[in-house]
Amino acid sequence: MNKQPIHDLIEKYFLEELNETEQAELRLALEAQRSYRDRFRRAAEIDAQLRHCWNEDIGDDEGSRPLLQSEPNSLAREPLATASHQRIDVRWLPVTVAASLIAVAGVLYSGILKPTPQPTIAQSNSAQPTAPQSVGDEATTRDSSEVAWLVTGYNHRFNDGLAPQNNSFERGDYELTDGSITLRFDSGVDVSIEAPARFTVVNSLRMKMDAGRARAIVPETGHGFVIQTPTADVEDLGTEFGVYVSEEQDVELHVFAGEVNVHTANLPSRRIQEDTAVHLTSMGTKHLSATDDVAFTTRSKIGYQRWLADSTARREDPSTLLYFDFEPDPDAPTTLRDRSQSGLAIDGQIQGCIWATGRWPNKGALLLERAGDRVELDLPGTFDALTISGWIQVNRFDQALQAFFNTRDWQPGEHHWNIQRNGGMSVGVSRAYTIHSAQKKVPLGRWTHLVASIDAQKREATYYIDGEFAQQKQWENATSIVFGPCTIGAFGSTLEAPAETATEEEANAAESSLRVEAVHYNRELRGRLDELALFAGALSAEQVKELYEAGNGFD
Amino acid sequence: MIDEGRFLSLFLKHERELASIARAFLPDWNAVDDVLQEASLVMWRKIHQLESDDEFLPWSKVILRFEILKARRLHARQKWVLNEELISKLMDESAEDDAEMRHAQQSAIQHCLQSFSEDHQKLLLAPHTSRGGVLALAETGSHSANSLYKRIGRLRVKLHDCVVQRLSSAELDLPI
Repeated sequence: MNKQPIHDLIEKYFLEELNETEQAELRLALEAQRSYRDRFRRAAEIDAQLRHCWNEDIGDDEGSRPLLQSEPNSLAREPLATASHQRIDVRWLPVTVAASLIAVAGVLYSGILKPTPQPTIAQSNSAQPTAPQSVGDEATTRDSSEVAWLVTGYNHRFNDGLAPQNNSFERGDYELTDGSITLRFDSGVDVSIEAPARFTVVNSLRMKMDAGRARAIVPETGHGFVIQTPTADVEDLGTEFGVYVSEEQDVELHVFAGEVNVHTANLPSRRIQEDTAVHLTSMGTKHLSATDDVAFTTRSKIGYQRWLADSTARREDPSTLLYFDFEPDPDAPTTLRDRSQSGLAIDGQIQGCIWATGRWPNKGALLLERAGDRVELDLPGTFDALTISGWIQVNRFDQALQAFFNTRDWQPGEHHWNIQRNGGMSVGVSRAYTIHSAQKKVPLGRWTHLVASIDAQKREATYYIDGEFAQQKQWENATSIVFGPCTIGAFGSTLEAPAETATEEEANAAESSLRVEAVHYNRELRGRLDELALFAGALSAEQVKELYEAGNGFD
Repeated sequence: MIDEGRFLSLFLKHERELASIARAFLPDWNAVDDVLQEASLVMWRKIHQLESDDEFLPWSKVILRFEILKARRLHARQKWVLNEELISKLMDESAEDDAEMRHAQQSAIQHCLQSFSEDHQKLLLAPHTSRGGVLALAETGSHSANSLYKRIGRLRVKLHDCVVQRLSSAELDLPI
């Protein structure tokens, strides 16, 4: 669609000159494109301002032209911007207060929609040595014969010929020789398995363990799920349980939550209660002293192992310029340690904040909750290309903008990263570009991965949320990226304040050299942070995805 | 808590923004005046609901939205250019604009308006004068009202483009 006619139609709308055909055309255009709606709203604002510009009180002389602010005000009229305030005057001011209260149906503007996780295609890794490895949390393209698929794994390796194809498990036998995995059945059941393990996928509600440890977490959709062992079948009744089958075919059952039924040939079924561990034999059950939670892995534990390995590799990577893992230093609780091996050692100074739990129970984080909570740091140097990556959980949107990671002030080349009240982003580099967008939002109360990949040489910046493309901007001006003093969690602006002096006269008389710098902080963040890194170079979409997946294995 | 005494200054502060929202969804300025008057009465009655000044704008927009929809229902026979779905969409998108951006936009409009010649300023403002400014201009000049409206439309597009251009350069200097 040619934009010019739509622009004309918008102006005709405000001039009340549209005919019916044009009205329909305008309506369709506004429905179709955000850019037209933005223009329409701006045109309404211009129209309102034009109306304000005409001071009707002095407009009796219709031939006279209005005074604009820049012109000498020989008639002592009010400035343009305020002239029409007379127009509102008492006409709109109620003189009585009515008692009737009509319920106002809430302020709806900031409704947050939790995005549906975008599935990804898991990559095949059978019979390949696996460094800390990530797989997509869901699979997009799934075979009709697939019964289960790999949702997460750490250093896992299968025996040749007994491996899944493309992380997809059809009915059949499998042997996990190294590492640990979580596979999800069609029924929604998650089973986490540690090597060494031999097992058979039977159908979406049944698997067979020949050897190894498996822990099943069974949602409502998977009730009745069975793990078959050499001595008995364990049937879920809505629960979380672990099964261990030794090479000698000894079988243990640990019920962590809910109940299970145990079926043994020639014996009546027995119900095993929560918090119970038993030996399963062909002759019956024998109680063990206690359940062993640590002995059976979970998706979250596998995710933590994977992140830890990735984190270790990242901090040792020379391209990592700055790496905060948000683990406290017992000797310096108000210091946020830069764990990168870059040699810069740009530790952050924690102002306020509370040490808290991060994505995993044993992962540190900082909770920013009170006024002024932030981390201050000073990052030297200029950058032609860099990537900023962080994990954040926003608890509340208290303000129009909440600062995630901003430089102090807004000098040329400095990067700002704010989250809008509706979860959208307000980001940019001073004198280069800005983005205000709510197309993809940061959800409330959920750990979220944010990445900015900025290439100042190509003059292109790309932003990602949870490994998915969110926004891209190209710009004209040549600039390098700089930081200097900056903050995680609140935006600091420098105010020039007079040095403390006895009188106002003295303050006024003070030389500029006597003035001191004060920093005012606002846009405070309410939530947790548990990782922030700066990498040299602009990471590609694939690399950003890997970064996300390396840190995504949490519950 | 905000009291009635604070109401006038808050309403005046945000009146232009509220007027622009109402104008987007109502057919003319008379309708806008009526709705703003009704909305101001409702706000006056409910002002005690607010805890702080910051809450005024989003709160007043909700009231205005209701009053706009009410006015549309009262005049249900009129053919509206925008339907309620479109209004909701525009309202929601308007809520994404922050105060700094809005302030920058108002400055840009002021600046751009001043860059027009005297005659063009007069034309741009003519539709807003109280006694049919465009018709009056047509009567005194050599142009028909129709051709004047076309010229005003073109000037408004130019004004808009100037605002967009100024915003895009100015926003680079705004702290975000």
